[in-house]
Amino acid sequence: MTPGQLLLFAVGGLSNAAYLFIVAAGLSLVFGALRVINMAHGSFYMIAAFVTVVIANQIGAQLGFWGGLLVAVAVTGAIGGLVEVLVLRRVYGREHLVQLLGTYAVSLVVAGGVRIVFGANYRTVASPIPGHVDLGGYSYANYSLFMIVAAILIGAGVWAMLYRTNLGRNIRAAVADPDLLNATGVNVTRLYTTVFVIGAGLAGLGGSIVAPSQAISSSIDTDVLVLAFAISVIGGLGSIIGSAVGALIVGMVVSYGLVNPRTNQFAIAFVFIIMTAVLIVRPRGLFGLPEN
Amino acid sequence: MLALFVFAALVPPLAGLYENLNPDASSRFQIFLGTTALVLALWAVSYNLMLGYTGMVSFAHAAYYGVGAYTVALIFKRYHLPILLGLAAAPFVAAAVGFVTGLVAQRAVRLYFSLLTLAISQLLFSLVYSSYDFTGGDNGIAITLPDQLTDYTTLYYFTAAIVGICLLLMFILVRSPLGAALLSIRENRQRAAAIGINVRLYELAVYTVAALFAGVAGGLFVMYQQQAYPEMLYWTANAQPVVVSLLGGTTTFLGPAIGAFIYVLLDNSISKQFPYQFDIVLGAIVLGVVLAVPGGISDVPSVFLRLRERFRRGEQDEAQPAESAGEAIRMFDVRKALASEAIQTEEVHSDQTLLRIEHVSRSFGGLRAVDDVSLEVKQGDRHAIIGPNGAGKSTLFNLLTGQLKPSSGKVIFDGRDITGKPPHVIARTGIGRAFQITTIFPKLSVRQNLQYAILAHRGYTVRPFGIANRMFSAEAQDLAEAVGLGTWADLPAGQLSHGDQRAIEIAISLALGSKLVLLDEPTAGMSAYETDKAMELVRRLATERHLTLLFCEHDMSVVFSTARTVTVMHQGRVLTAGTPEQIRRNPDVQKVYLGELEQEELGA
Amino acid sequence: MAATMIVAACGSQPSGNQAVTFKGTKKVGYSAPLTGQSALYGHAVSQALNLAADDINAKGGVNGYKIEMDIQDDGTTVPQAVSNTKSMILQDNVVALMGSVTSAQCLAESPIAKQNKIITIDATCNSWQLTMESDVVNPYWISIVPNTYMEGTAAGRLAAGLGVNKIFIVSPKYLFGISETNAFVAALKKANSSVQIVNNPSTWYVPFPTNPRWDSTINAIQAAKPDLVYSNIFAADQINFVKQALAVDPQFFVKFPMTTLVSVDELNTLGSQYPLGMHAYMRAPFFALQDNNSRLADFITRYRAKYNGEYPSDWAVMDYDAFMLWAQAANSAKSFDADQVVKQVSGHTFDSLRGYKITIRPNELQANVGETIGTTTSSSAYPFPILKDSTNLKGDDLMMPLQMVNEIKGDQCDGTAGQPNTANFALCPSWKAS
Repeated sequence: MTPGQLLLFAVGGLSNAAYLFIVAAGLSLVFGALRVINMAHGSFYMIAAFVTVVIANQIGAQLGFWGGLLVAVAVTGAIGGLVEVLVLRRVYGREHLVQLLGTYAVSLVVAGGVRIVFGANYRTVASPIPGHVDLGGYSYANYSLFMIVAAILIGAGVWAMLYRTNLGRNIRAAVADPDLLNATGVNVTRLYTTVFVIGAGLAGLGGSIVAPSQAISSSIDTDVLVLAFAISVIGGLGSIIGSAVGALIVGMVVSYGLVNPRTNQFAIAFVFIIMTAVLIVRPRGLFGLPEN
Repeated sequence: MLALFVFAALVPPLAGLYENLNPDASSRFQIFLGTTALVLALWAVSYNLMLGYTGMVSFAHAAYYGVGAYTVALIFKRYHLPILLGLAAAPFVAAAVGFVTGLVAQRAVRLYFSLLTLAISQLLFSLVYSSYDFTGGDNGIAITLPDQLTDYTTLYYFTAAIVGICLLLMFILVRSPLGAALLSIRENRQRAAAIGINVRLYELAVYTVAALFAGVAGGLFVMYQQQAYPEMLYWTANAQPVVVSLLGGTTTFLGPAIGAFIYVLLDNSISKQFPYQFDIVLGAIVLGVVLAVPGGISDVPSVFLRLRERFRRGEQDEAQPAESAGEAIRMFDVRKALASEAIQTEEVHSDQTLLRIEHVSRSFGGLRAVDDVSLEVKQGDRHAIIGPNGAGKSTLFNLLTGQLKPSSGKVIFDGRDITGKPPHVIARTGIGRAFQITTIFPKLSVRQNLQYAILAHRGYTVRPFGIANRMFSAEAQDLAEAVGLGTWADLPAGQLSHGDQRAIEIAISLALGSKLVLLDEPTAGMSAYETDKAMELVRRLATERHLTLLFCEHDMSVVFSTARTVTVMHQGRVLTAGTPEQIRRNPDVQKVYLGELEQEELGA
Repeated sequence: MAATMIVAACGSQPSGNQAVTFKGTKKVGYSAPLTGQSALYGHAVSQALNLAADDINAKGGVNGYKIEMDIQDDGTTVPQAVSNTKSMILQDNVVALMGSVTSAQCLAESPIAKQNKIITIDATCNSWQLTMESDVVNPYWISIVPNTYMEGTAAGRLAAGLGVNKIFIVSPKYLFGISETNAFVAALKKANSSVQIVNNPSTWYVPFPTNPRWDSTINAIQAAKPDLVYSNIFAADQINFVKQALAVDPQFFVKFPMTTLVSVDELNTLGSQYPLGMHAYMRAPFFALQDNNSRLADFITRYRAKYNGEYPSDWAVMDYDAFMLWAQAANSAKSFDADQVVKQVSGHTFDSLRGYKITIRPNELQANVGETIGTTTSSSAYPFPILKDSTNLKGDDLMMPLQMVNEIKGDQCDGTAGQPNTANFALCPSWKAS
């Protein structure tokens, strides 16, 4: 590969990693703080994508998209809050299968609902940042670059929230030692709801951001979920840095793997090989905390 | 079970009847649906071996179903061999794949195990999906049935026969001592290990067996659907057996089978007309089950039962008490205990010294919880370990029975080095342990708790045949009566009051302690009277049945009335050892306890 | 999950005024991609089939029976198509089936239809294997769509004629993609052996159905700098690919011209965004078939009247023809029995909307349907691009030579002996000899 090509596929991998990171960060956060595997995480991603597309198409490209994104994230966060209050609160501390099933049931309901409300067809929306950049003989879509920048900013934002605010400190305490949290006088119930809303919002943000670059349908929830799982596992459940590194790994593996003739068949499989290896050798992931 | 066979045999004639009554209908379709339900039932029941019986949540089960399907399809279509040969091969291929991937999946536990099975499932899916030349990739493999099997009724009976045989085999398995071991694992992994069950081995075994039957189900699927496709291995495909098991109930053997029939009926009637609503309905049902059932999924049938009972009985209480009265310990029966065949003691081969702890240490990060502890327990001794809170007594016990590994030092038991061995191995050497926090099998009955302990201890749990609940029933009943729980032997142990649960805990340790019984604060929470009764029983057993005893205690009256040797620990180290009298008069010991007393008084 | 599509937009009001008394109702089944990757097509086909049903019933139905469409959604997936087919045959007692969209689905449906002796008129999935591969052949399967041999070789010859040296291939990895791409490559190499395919064969194929992200392919094309891109990705995949490529560079398809399978649905979905200058091959574009074709004109008018001014896409045209063909044959046979109806189809000639009559060749039950080629250009008459300089290739010129058909059916072209699914016409003696 020439340097120009290396860069080409690297940016491709990065833009893949960008939206995956945003989604996985939410999943990872929820698991780290709440110890809940949220099978409905992809559902939030999907709802936000649809809402964004619908609003953007109604109002018109630029303003419509950003407005749509804001509305979508708000809606998703709100639905996340509802789910947490109505469903999750009843299943905390129970066997994880019960939690899995509860959130899985939510994902079923959402999938059916989305199909009813939005119809079963694919939807597309125009890119709000058209144009491209030429570098080294190759073209890069501006929107792909935007996705990368957005992911970095969002990642920084989440990091800042975690390490510079009281809320973040409480979240990190919950991740580190949930039992201790009760003793510190923090309103745990409200904290859990907040974290879940943030997680849902992040999933929604990922869905909104990715909407202009692919066809949106009612099956995008399951595909993103399994990749988000893989990334969270590889990076470490509960770690933002881990999600970023995991997303990078997955994004790059897919980007380079698909183009190389020898690995092209198995690029996606390779992601799961890594996931398996991590779970065997170091279950907490690259940056996760050891299980108490 | 029998009812199921009768029902299965009746479906085609019933379908024919339905067609006669309803000319627009086709009996072929009803029969086809029946075939679908049968195969789904087999798949779900096999899944429940792991889910309901062993407490394992796997995302890879659909992959073995798919492997079975592809085995049949490939053998028939690609290798042009008889389709029945393919069906015969399917379970073994699936079991082989299950075994190998199960070995991998086993490296993690609980949640990480589930995630690992997800990764494995996706890997297998990718392999099948990508190997276009071999498996047809996204096309899947379509087959044309040989003529003998194209008749729907023939196919139905054939499927019913195979499903029936498989269900029967699995039924035998779950009722066998091996099945009892699986239930123990589900109920309490720690206790299962402590009664001598190699948890990982049994989990691997059930995982492989489940994969085997999933392979049969997958093979049967290809026979009636004439198609194998890669989506069968996708991780979300596992939703079907899970939901089906949930619908029918995971606590009974045939629950998932019933769920399968319900599901097929629902699917066919609702989802045709209202496809999007079907998902919502299904989701709502699952949510309902999950939220409405406080004790977990296995409680579903009992929730219905309880509701039904409440309806029927109203306010009236019946003869069977719903909860125990907490009287067990008071009703400890020494004579019964002495006569109990559940309690077996062995003569030890080594000379006098049964347990030797040599310079054992254990650190947690910077904290030395156990620091260079050495002591000896002679055969027939009643040895107490005392010391203030945090002295390291429980940690020491955990080091002895394998829940923790020592950082350094050795533990020699009956001449064998058991240092760092896993709990199930140590349990088999003849050490029985009562844990400080009651560790029993909550949903199993009192009798089953004792029976399964005996079965495991005496090595019966490797047998996949026989009826576990009938083995050692009398011995278990006797032991239950000996510890005052005779009347409540059939009650789920988790419903007993705390004190009564302690009685079970003690009973289990006695049943297992053929050479040595470890009691971790046995009388904690007991009244004076109960303490006397409990320790009287233990003492008499020790004296007359040559039971060796090692216990740690806070209650000094117990120590002085029961122990012949006392070791005092303080801050992880052995302070001193000797007879109770010597210890009582030892000024250092007094200081240690006084110091603790002072600290308590000062509120520090 | 199966669904009966309630095409709410259209009723089933009879278009004629005669009071017709029917002996009863019979159903014709169609497992439709109403959702999923090919939802675009499913929508068009369902509408056309319902219109056709109305037309048929207005003329007295078939054999005195009113014909009703039984359309069920299969999400463009194989499992659901199989399930639908079974239920349509067993539960709904359909007397005929219309073939599904993807070749993988058709491959799965064929054995079931064959076993139950239900005639299938296939107007969409077009892999030649469906009518010739010895372990797939089905005596009740009629193809009235140009098969992958016809399409692929036409595209291959075209590409050779463009004078390009380096070609990049992107194709969906399932039966259709592989079949058509192989045909393309074989014809290309035969016409011009010096043409180079720049990407490694293992990277020609992308996972199917919808792979939402096309970065890798787009980047690979940029890296390889081909003279031409050949693609037979379709529906949502094509939409995504084009959109994402244009996002990277609005001149993408000027820098890297593309030869691709297209239908009016893709043109319509992207509208003015659809790149101009694409070398397209299309199966039944109405705008190119209108000359002296009053039947088509009438159909377009009625279709647009019934369906909110929508233009009938290629799939609508072809499936209308399919349904009409079956109705006519069944009426001739005076029976719904598959063997009888096939007798009235095989070797017979039928009217079509495409401006010429089509004849079903008995050897493999394939109709001599043609293909339209041209270059996309903007149009003032329609809200989507059309083709300029279009040529309607004749089916007879495209069809596989009889000799070759027989060689394939006789397992003489198998890649691995004894494995009919490795059959490749490029291995046939008659191909090698020509």
